Amino acid sequence: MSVSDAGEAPVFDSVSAGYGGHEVVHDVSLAVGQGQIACIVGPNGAGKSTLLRAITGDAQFLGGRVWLGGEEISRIPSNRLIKRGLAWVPQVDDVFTTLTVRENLELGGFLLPRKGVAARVDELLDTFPLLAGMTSRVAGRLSGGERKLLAIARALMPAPSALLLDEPTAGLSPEMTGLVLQNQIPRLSASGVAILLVEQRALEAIAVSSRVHVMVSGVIRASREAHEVTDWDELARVFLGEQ
Amino acid sequence: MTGKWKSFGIAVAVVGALGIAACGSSSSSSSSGPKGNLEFAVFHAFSGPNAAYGPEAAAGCYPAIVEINAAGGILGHKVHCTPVDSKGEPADAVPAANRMIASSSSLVGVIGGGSNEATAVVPLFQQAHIPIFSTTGQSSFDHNTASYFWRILSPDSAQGSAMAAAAKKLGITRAATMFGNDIAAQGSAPSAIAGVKRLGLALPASQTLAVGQSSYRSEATAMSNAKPQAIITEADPQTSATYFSELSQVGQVPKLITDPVSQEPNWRKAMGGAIGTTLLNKQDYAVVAYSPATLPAYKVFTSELMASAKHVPNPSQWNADLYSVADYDSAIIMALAMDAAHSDAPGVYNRYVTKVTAPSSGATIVHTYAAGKAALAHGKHIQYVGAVGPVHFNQWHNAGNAFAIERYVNGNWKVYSLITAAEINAAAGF
Amino acid sequence: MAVFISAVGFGVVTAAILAISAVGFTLQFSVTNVFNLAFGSVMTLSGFVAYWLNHAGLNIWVAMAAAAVSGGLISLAINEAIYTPFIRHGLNLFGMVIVTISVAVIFDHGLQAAVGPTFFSYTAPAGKAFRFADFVLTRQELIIVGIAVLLTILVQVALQYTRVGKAMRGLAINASLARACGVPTRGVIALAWFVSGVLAGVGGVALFLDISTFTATTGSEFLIVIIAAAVLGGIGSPRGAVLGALVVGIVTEVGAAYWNAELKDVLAFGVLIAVLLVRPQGLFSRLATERAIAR
Repeated sequence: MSVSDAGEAPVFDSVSAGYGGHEVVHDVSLAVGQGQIACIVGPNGAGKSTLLRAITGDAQFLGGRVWLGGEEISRIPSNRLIKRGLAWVPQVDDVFTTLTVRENLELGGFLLPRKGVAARVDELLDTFPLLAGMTSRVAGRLSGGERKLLAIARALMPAPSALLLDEPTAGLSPEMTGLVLQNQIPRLSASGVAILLVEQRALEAIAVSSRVHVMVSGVIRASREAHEVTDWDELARVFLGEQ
Repeated sequence: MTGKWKSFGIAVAVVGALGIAACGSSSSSSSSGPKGNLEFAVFHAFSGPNAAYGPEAAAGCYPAIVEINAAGGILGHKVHCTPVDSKGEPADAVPAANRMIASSSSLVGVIGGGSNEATAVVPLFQQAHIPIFSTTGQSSFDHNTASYFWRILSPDSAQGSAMAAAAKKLGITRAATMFGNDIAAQGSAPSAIAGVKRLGLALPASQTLAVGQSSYRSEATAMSNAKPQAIITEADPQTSATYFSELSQVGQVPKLITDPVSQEPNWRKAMGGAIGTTLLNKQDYAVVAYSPATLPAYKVFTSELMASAKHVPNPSQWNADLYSVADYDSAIIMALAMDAAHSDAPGVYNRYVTKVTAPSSGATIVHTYAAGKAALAHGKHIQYVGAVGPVHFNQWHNAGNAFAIERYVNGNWKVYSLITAAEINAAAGF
Repeated sequence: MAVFISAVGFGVVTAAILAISAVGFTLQFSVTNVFNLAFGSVMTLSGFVAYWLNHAGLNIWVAMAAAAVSGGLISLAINEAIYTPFIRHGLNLFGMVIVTISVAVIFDHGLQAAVGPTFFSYTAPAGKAFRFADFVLTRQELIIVGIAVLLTILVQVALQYTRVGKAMRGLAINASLARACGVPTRGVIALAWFVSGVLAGVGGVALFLDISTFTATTGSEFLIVIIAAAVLGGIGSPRGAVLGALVVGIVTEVGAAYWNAELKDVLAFGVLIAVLLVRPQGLFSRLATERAIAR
């Protein structure tokens, strides 16, 4: 896929990123189609999260470009990204722990017109019925899975065109992992959101994705259509750093 | 005093024996030998945190030697003031005192020894048989037994006793106390409270305040409920202002019996802002050490002070300083005692100090060195009434000054009433 | 019983005065994570603005409003001109505390050099006294309590229900996530500094009216009690700051009435330590973990 036919979806073009001037992610290029799920899998410390964090301003963006909806979004202040349609859910610190569930959602809709916020909160509570019964509960008191659903719902408040998910199943129970990966995420992409998913649980992630990128030592070692990934031996070799 | 006698005297002093006998023999030698100079040491801090004490005492010594030398000196000797720096620290004062005693051949008396070093150096001068007129405020000297130690001014604790005496003098029967818990205020609090009880006044409330709080409403309410006729008080400006502003809200501000702190511009500004200057001036009775500006000796002191500008820079700054005034009196008293003893030997004239100051029938009252010297020459008994007023030493060699109640009237402090040393002693239990 | 009631009543007045400043201190700290020990200097500076206006003939309450605005602007200016450059260079929490102490020293002593080491008072009649048994309140004190109640409720409601209030709370707990929601963090931080300065201005004038006289360093001298109230309540929580101020105010007054006036602050700080032993996070904790300084 090239930049020109990317449409609404995010495109990473030779992106380098790191911390304190030290490059961790080297020259990554990839794209996510509209309404599709792309996943980045790879061993611990491969730089998967760093790539996402460079876009959101939590790591250093050291080179390359990122496009969304035909506009360049690299290096713009992170609080303006949502206006361009890019939302994200960090791996940790993903909710406002001292705010209630409803307040978390309301703050997610910070940029929506005032009058539209309550209606949009109701829409998302319909989408995530689990949250509907606990709107006045403080987010810090939620279970891990409830909390992750809230984080995703919060990110969806302004109806973004693209969503970055940083290891959404980390620390979740098997049931909640199933709910998030096999149920919620596919439903979101079906509604037209482009999703870039970073996951440790490679097999489950590949199962719901349309395209898979394997990152090792800050470099994309392999990119495949998900249904082409049948040679598990090859994947394992890539994981282990062999070409 | 001759150099010959002095070296002999020092030898005696250093071994610390037979002082009286040695000095007794010296009086004859002093009249036969050449007339050398005599020295008063101004032994105080001239450097360090209390570096102001030295110049303050020097401003008493130099005017005195102007007066003495103009009258022909003591027994024919000219007199000098020698500043010696104690640095206000015992660690520095002790070697300085020892050096001075050992090296100065014409030293006849010491003016000085402040609260910082008096305890450490008084025994040295006692041992060397050199009179020391100290301005220490420590109550440990209230019952002093060192025969060479003399104190003209009252100890610090006399301030509290004087405040209690002032309450009685003002006709108060119910006097409460309010003191801050800082060191300055606590200096006079115990003696004020003890004085109120000793004088038989009711003490309906006695408060010690934590200074610098945002509210004293509970304390002010308790004070208001105690209904005192007067509050004996010392606290810093901020605490006083907060407390009395709240007292004025919950009740009436009664008469205030205050101390010299209340005459400081900052205290008056803060309190004036808190309760209004009209009410403050109406209720405030400041109790301060009394230095009667109308006494003849005081007038002599001020004119001799102005004549001492060579040694005392900007002399007029000291003309109302009670310490300078007392140190002036100290030098004059020592000089008159030498004349009365016909000897400049310290071991001899020290016993004549009370003889030239104590009141007695038939004594000629004198206010200057010249007048005293002349009266003694005619074989008369004298009583020196100094610039601080009468100096009546008790058995502990403490005199004690009078205090005054002062009121602020039309922009000036006016003496409202005097509190004698006897009235203060009654409050202090002496 | 009458003594107790009056001591509690007086405690409420003291609490009201402390609460205005404590809420300002805690609000700004929770949003920006700068432990700003120059807060007392902002109180004093704006207190002097009110003093000059008051002595130029302005009513004290109008002067207080002016002090509020200038407190806000001073606070904003300190952050923009002094703190922000340090924060950009990534100075840590402790380093920032040293910077704020330096600012306090420079401001206090600079002001003292300008106005002199003396005492100042507002021209403001205490007004009619209202007496309930032993408990006497003047009109001035009632107005101050009213202002304190109004301001703390206003802050609480704004934080609870307005969009920018929620953004402020969100920023306080998770600045990065607030940015993800599109919150303009710089603007919200600036607003927090301004509001905190407004409260410092009002709190300063209220305190100086209450203690009836002040100097160039009075604000800083009382800062420790203000911080104590904020910490007792749970640093970062305006509700907690009010509760902390109430505890400090009532404990000191009841202690003075029943126990020993000399030891009233010993008692208050003893209670503070006892509470923190049981609840290290304070009565209402907002900040679960230590965070970096918000940018």
